[in-house]
Amino acid sequence: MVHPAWTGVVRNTFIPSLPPGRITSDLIFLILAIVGTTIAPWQLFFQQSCVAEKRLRFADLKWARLDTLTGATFTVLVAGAMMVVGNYGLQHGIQFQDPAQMAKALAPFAGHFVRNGILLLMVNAAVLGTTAISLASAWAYGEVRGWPHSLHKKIWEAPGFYAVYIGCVAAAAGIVLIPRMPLQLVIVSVQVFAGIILPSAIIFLQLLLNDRALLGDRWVNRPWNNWINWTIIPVLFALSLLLAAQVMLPKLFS
Amino acid sequence: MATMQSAYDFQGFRVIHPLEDAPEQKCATEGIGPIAMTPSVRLSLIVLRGYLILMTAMLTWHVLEMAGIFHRLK
Repeated sequence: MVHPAWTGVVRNTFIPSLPPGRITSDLIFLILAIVGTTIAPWQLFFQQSCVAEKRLRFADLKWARLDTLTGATFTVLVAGAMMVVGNYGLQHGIQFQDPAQMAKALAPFAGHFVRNGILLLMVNAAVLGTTAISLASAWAYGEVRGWPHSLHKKIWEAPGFYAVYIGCVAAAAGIVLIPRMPLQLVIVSVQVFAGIILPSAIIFLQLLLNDRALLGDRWVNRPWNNWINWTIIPVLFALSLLLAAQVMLPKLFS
Repeated sequence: MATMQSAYDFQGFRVIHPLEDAPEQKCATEGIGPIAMTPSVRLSLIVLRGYLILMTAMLTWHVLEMAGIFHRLK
């Protein structure tokens, strides 16, 4: 329906490039946000808590990994589709600030199917994000505090866990409902924050995954796992330092 | 050709959901204690804590600046 230039889509998927022009502070902010939301640190906590919550066995781990791979692949495909649709809008001179505006503006060109599809994706992302991130926070905080923390328990059996979960959802809803709140800035800032804390989360994960006494020979990290993780960490630190430089020297990239 | 018949009376597979299965023997964590860390790792983690606090403060400053809060306060 959108008919993108598929050769360009495939080339830019595997060989990403920067937009034409010089590097600006907004661009660095956006790159950090994309990294932070793609390899989100909360997912590290969510994943392990989710496996424990489902009470999966060691024999189920290969299916759990396939589940994660399928979900990650689907997420990337949907994100790619959104970028293709956004690019279609820009090429037709449509101005938009957020996906909802983009969906409405695209309707006369791309039809109601595309508009409704984008809006449905946004609702899906909102429901998933609210549930998953709040749950990850409640699971992690409950674990740190030593509280009972499981959806298998009733509310009165795990009051702290459910209080954190409901509190996170309520706080998110409360922030969204504040009048004249710059929601786009809030969304991107949270993603940038995720990008900044991501290397730290991966370092702690690395310490755990290389603890042979804890995991045993069967589950301890393999060298190739460590190579991938130690490649990601310096790149993320470098991006964070660029942000720091931008804050200390605001005219550096302007 | 004679039909092959098994003496085993197959009645189908019984699927057991992990929630209803017998608990599995997990890796024991008792007696392991905290993660063994060399002094350099310990120092790195202290530096990392400082980095996190500093970067969070910087990001907060930058976002408030972009939101125009400081401009309105002037």
